[in-house]
Amino acid sequence: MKIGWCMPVDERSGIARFGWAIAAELAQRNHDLTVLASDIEPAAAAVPSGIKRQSIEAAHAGAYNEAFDAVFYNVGDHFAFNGRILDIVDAVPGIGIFHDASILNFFLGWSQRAGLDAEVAERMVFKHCGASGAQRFRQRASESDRFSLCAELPMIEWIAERTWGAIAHAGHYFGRIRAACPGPATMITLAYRPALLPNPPPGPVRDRGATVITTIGHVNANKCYAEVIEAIAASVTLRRNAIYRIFGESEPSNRARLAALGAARGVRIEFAEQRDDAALTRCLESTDIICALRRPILEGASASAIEGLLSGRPVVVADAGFYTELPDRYVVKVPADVPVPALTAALERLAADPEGRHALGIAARAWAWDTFSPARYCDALEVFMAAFVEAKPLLRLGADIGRTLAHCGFKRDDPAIAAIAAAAHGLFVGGKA
Amino acid sequence: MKVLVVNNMAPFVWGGAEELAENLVRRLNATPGVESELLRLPFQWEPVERLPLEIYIHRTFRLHNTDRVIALKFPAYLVPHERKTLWLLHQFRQAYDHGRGETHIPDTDRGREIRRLIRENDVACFRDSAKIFVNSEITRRRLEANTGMTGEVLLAPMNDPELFAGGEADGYVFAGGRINRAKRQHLLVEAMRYVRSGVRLVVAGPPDAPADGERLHRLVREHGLDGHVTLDLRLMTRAEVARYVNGALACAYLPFEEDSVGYVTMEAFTAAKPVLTVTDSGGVLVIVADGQTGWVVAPEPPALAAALDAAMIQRRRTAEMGAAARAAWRELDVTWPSTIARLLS
Amino acid sequence: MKIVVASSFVPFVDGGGRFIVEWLAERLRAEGHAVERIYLPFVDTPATMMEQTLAYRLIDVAQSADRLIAIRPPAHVIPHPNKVLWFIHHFRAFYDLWDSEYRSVPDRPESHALRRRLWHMDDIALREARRVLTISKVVAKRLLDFNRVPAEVVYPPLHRPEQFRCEAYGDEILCFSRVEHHKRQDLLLEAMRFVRSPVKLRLCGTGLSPTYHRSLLETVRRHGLHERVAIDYRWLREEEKIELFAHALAIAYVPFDEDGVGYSALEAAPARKTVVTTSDSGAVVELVEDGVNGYVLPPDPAAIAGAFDRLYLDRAQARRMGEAHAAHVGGMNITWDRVLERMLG
Repeated sequence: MKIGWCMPVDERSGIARFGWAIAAELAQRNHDLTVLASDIEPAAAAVPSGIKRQSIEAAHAGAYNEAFDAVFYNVGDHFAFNGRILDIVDAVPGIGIFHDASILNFFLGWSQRAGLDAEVAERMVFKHCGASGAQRFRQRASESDRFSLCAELPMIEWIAERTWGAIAHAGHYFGRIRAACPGPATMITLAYRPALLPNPPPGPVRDRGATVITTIGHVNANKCYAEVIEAIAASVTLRRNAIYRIFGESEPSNRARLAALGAARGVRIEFAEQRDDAALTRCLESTDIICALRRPILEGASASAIEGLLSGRPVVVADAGFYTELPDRYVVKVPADVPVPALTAALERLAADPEGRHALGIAARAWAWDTFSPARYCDALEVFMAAFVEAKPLLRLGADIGRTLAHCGFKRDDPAIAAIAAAAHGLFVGGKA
Repeated sequence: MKVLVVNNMAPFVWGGAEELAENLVRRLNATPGVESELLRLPFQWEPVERLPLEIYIHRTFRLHNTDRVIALKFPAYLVPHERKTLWLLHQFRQAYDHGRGETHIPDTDRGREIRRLIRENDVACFRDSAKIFVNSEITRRRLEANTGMTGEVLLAPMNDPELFAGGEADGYVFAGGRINRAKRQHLLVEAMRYVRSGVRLVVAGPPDAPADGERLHRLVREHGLDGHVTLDLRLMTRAEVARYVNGALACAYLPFEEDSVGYVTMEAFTAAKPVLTVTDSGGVLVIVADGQTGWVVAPEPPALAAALDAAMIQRRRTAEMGAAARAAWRELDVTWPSTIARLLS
Repeated sequence: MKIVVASSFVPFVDGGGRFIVEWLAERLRAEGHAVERIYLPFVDTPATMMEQTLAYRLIDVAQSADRLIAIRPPAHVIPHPNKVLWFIHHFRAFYDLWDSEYRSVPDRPESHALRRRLWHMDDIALREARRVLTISKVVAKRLLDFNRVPAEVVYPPLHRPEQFRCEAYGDEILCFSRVEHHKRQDLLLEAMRFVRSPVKLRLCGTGLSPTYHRSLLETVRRHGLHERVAIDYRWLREEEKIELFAHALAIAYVPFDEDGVGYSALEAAPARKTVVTTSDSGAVVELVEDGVNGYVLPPDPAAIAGAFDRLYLDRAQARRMGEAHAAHVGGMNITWDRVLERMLG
């Protein structure tokens, strides 16, 4: 098929990494794929051979409709990376791949850039998040817990209702997407391949030295750093043997706060910056336990959790969202609200059992490599793409009917609409009319 | 130029509007440079939930290979086209007339919503149309009252004016056209009880139903008007109608509240015959002026009788009014060539 | 019975389908039925086909008619409990022309999906009918192969075959047909370059393509055929046509791949003239047994020229084959009586 693959090309975007991997796999399967850069200001990234690239322009909508059998919109919660999607998503109906469960930041970035009237923005939030959501939106300036705000106002319908097909990467946000999208919707397990695969952990060795517990990623309030520090602090053995490595960019204020907390609790903390892929690989190779705790959960699936699984080190997660769907035998789960005692117990158990850690890590790595593979993702994508194309004539008909009815001033709940839809269904889809 | 005339039809029903549409197409085809066809779209308006569907259906049709459209009725005029001229024969009165009991649209929330849909689509269509003509002054007023839109009156011309050349008056007043209760020929027959001048009445035309003819026969019998009233109740040929008109003193046409001028009136004026009508006849009053081109009296037999007598006794006056009627009619220039010129302008 | 005959049409385009509707309606009326003809606009643009067809699906004639006879798709989707189809052709772009050199719909996954929807629609509509009739074996085969629906072949009869007669077997081969590219009058002109006898050719008829007409004139000019070829590019009156058939040597009709037999091969029968046609002409081949009542030739100018010469040089043969054609077609019972019996039975 001729595919329009809309994705950010900025290398800081996790979706960009995903996007290139899938694009390469699809191109290898003899699809004629063109990357459409969705960044507001796309960088001139190198394009792998066999793949074309175009910038997105609203005026070219007609040409895209002609040129592509299916257009995919990789949607994430970032206006700068995803903004150009909005230039064509209505004129070029396609499949939305929703990487994040909440796209409030994307919405805010767009509404600001578009100079949207506060009232108009509020009405849009009201439409998808109800009265209480609209109120919280109105008072967002005084909101301190940004993550909680994003969780409560996901705004995912804002895009999902404009796509004609939708893909979610996990069940926890699939329901909203399926309800909003007029066309087919499905769940596909995320694909992830790290740039450099860390070497697997060496054989279990007791008393190797400190037990390194690592949390990876940009330092944000939803990554539960404080809970990990408290959990280590609550255990004599952990306080003595563990080092908590906080690996990722952080604001100086956050860093200072966490350092102070560690000092106060007697927990050894080290900070490291993610300068490049090699640095990340080195970090993972010297890690014993990965804490990939999130609360609240805003991602669709977690690329960093998968990254942890692929490193062959045991991963500790909160039992919610995407993580709930990970098999119990491959991750260590603590309750969703990340209670410190449960976390302490989990970490102590892992720290005390190098053989167990090793076996868990190796098994999880093999499973993750297989499960989160681009090949498996593309298998599912191709099936879904075929279903989408099959549905397109009916979706077009639906849109045409809707346009005619709107033109005639019909209200949305007019009984005539059901009669027209039933006639269309009987004629083009169903059995005996 | 390809001109498509678009009309509705209720299957198996044929009436004046259908005749008009056919004549229009024939006349368009006779116009140099114009090719015309008639599109008759089925319209099923009952049960009432059909109305929104019919609106949708008509808005979905696509007309190819057509330069201009002349549309005559709801919902036919909803078919999209960039160059649409409307010649409204009447609006879909059921959506507009309240409390007349002639509608099948109920006075419920849903009924009101359906009326709203009809009105809004009408207005949108009228706005999108290149030109709006209406077939009578009454229709023009109603259009303005219902929608605020302005239409130009364009009367539907006769098809055979040359037959109505006029002639010597032969002592009778002629009442032509379809026979039914609403056309009220029975009032004229009743009026004959009161005439004193010896004027005769000739009623000729097809009864809608046997009872309509029977009613007149019974009145003649009951009041012993045989010899004074001739009833020729059947479908006439045009030549037969013309003969009656051309030999009459005057013509009588007194329907109850009709929109249009009426072919009977047009035939009379063409033949230089004044017209007897009554105060609640509607459209015919736009043409007939009491004392100038005819008589406008109360719809009561004694008043009608006085006018019938006057027609007979004041022969010269009658002839003068007939001449004035013909002049007034000529002034209006209601001919097919001028009608088509206006439709296509 | 109250019967609706419904068909799709393009304004100002006269096709065989229209004659079928008009003549069928006339015959049904002659039998005493009340008949309403319904022509609904349609444009076969792939992008809008589904919505236009949906409008047809919402039409309600079930309340007003006892029977629906649907002629040209998508009229076949109009709902009615008593529906008979006289199916004249598929949307061939989505059927047999899909994988051919004449493909007009792009070979894209979405068009395949659209095709499946249209097939579904046809399958539903065909199975709703109480009887599916069609106009030729060619179309019947497609109905069976693509839709798995057996259809009965009922050839559309002439309007007034009794008007045709035979006067003589003259010097002229007659081709009486619309002048369009797919009717291949150019093939007949090419054949005239190869004839060795003094046989003549007359092409009669008009068309929508001035370019094609010009190319025919150019061919005549370039090969100096003007003494032997006459081109009457105009609409001819029925009397003129009858006269030409009466004096023709034989009738030539060589269209490409048609769904219907056309009228000239049928008209040839009461005129007792034989038919020259080609193997890829489509349905008309169903009327001709090669060498018995006509010629079915490869679409090759030399072969056609050979047939023309044979007929010219052996008038007795031309007569024998003409008589055979009259007998053959006569034996096929292509009559309105048969049509009505299959429609109404």
